[in-house]
Amino acid sequence: MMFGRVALFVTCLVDQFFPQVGEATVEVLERAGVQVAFPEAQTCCGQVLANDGFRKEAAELARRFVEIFEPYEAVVAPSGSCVAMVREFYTELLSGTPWEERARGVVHRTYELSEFLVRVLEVTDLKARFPHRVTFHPSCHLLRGLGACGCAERLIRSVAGVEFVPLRHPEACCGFGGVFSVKHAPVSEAMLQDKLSDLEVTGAEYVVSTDVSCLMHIEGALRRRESPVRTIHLAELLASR
Amino acid sequence: MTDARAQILGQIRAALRGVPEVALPPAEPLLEGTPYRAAIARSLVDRFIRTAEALGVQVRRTRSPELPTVLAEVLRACGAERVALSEDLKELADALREMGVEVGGPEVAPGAPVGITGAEFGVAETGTLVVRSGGGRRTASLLPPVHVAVLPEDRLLPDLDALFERVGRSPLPSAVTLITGPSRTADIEQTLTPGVHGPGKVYIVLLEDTPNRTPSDRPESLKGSP
Amino acid sequence: MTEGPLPFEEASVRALANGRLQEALRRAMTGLRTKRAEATSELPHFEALRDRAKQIKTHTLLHLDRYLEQLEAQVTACGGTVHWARDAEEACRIVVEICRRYGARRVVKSKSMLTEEIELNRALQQAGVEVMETDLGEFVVQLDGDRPSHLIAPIIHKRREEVARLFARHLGTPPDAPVELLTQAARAYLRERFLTADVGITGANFLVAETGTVVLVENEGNARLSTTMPRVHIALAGIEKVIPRLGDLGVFLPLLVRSATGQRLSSYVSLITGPGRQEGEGPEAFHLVLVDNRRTEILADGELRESLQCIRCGACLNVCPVYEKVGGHAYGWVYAGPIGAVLTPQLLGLERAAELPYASSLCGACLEVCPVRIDIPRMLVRLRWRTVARGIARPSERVAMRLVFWILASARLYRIASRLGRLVQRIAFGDRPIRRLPGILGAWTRTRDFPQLPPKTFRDRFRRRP
Repeated sequence: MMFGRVALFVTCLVDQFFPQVGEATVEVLERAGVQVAFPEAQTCCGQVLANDGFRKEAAELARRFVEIFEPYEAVVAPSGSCVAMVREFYTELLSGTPWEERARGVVHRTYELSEFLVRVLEVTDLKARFPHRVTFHPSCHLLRGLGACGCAERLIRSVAGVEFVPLRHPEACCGFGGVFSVKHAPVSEAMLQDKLSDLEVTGAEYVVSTDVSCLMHIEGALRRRESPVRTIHLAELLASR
Repeated sequence: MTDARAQILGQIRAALRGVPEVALPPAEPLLEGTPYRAAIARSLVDRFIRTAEALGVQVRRTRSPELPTVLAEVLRACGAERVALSEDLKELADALREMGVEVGGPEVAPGAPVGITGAEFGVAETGTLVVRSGGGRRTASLLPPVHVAVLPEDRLLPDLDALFERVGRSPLPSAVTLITGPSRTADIEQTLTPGVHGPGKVYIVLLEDTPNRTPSDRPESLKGSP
Repeated sequence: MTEGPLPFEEASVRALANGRLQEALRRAMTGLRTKRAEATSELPHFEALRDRAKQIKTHTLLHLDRYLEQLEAQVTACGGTVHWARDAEEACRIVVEICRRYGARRVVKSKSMLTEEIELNRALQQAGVEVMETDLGEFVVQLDGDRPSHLIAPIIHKRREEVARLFARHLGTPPDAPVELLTQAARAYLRERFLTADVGITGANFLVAETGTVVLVENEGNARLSTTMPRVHIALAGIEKVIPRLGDLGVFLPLLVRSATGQRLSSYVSLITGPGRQEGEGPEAFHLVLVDNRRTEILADGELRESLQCIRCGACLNVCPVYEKVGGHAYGWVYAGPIGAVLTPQLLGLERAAELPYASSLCGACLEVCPVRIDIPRMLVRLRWRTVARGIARPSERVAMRLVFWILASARLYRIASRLGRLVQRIAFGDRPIRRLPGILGAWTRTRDFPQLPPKTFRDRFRRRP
């Protein structure tokens, strides 16, 4: 399928903490033959507010998102959780308002990066090269919310030089869960510990994910333990040459 | 209590005012006409024996004239000499007594080592016996530590859908009990232990012929079979 | 039941520190997950069954009054008596009154979450009636003055040694008896109770409106004994337990049992329709107590009504990564795990159970396995919205989130905050890793480094592209 121009929704976490992931996303999309626009007014999908119970505030951010991205053919984000937020909650947040219908349109055109590449553009090979042992942690949103785990995995395996070792329990939550990671830190840490043990067994040098939220959680513990394992976002992997 | 009834029903009606309708799905079983179901229906006896044995149930097949002999053999295997026999099988009492078995009616169930009852249906998909109340069948199949069930093969049904369809044709007795294997628990450290409250051992004797039954009683599942 | 807010936070910390509980939970949950996966994949139409079950339940709830009336008419026609209870207190009063009427002094009970919800045992004991739990796990819990910790496996948190010590004290078994011996001891002890009890009390897994039938699903046989030996059978059920037709059991039984334990069918499924007098065995009287206890409120709540579809299989508990770590007691009440986090705030009030909707990473594993497709994660989020809307959130949190909102709602403020954040980071940490943060973020940095803000944001760098 041919696409002219897509708008990049870079997400607040990527914009602030992991700009290289945003740059890699642009590069990957351009390599796939798509022009990328970046509407400057964008900030955040509102997930952290919705997640913590602040509905009114989340609804306003949802409205803002719809307003900013409406003019574009498609919106692509390097984040399963942000796209899941848009897809699962925007129409509910805006229900009963004139924005509900407008939201519906934008929601249908908003994609996570790997599902956009594989399902929409039908591109599975980006001529990338990354000669390392790599494992994949699907975020819960990617796996269950978007059902796009297969897309991401396919893209990972297409990268030249990658030695792919699956996790034994990829479906296990890493324990981030937004505010859960601090409000219920002990449980969050225990879940993270399980993920790290699973990670260790693979002997992977890198763990890939479509979500920096999971990655920063995992990375936080890896760095604290001074582990040699590194985290990498799917976009960065696909942009590697 | 009328106040409570009226109030609850009133609250329900108020709660649902204006809520859009959702239709009741049809009663047709989802498996109707599928290869999965056809496979079971094609080999009811084999499937039933397999699923029952997977539960640790012992299954024997015989013909009606040999039934007392087979039952006596089962009793010997259990080391039991006394049984509680439900009323639907009382014609077996004399034959069993001749083999040295002490036979009582359901009233001896509390103390008997073995209870023998008939079963109304069997379900092949799950290895289930269906016992309806009456004739002391409830207590004879529950109190003794061993339960022996006599089931004519033409009473085998493919799955639960078929069972409820059959059972639903006439008014229900006070209890219809679906028995699938022995009583069990895994409550203590997930360790599977049989015989908690109900029988810890179950035997099923399948009857290949169908005594006392006219062709018109035969269930659809075996129409046309010899 | 303790008054005041349910202490999830502190209970979860204790649970995490309990190595043996952790091991027991991990083993039990892994086993149940595996069994469920095998049993459900055996059925080619499993997903279609779930869809149909959801539709049946949704429809039934939308016509609940009609089906309850049909149920009542059928039960009455079969010689049973139907009672209606608006709340826990009324339900207990009705049961006590029935026991008084028959001069009952001893009751045997099979497992019922509803009876725990309404605290029936306490009411009966206060009325001078001896109540004996007969489900092995519940029997242990009763002897120990403890509480069940899982919907279908009540003593997942107890080790064999604990049970052995308990039985040695109460039943005279050897101090370190193996599981088989303990089971046989319980069997003998409880058999005597079954044979001498005046009344048997059960819950109900399903109520069939078409035939007036109570359906009891079990593996041990204590529900069978409780409904066969005593003169009187009292079944209690929440009003949401009704299903329209007998044939609907062909949908619900496979879903319930395969989801709960991975069996094709439980050892016993009893279809009880009226008293047993005519057949010469079974109880001479059958009473059905239909209990509301705030269920009509939930029914009226369009956003949470779906939670009434629960068939109490426990599959959501078995796949929940949070439950696996904290166990059932941490949820503070009768209903644990994901469905507990949705039901408890509704049945006990959001004020008391405000922590529960937040005690989830919203991973969605529960929705993935729920046989009736209850969207638990969505309902947890909705409950969080209500917590804030009702002013239950802490003031400091409200202030912080308002600030976050202002920053995110304005491109200009966002830019300013972006620069400010980097300035603060430079002052506080320089180039060093972020290992200590104040306030609630300190919970993160206890075991995890926090990511550093790089000098330039994505948009700064993107703007500078050649």
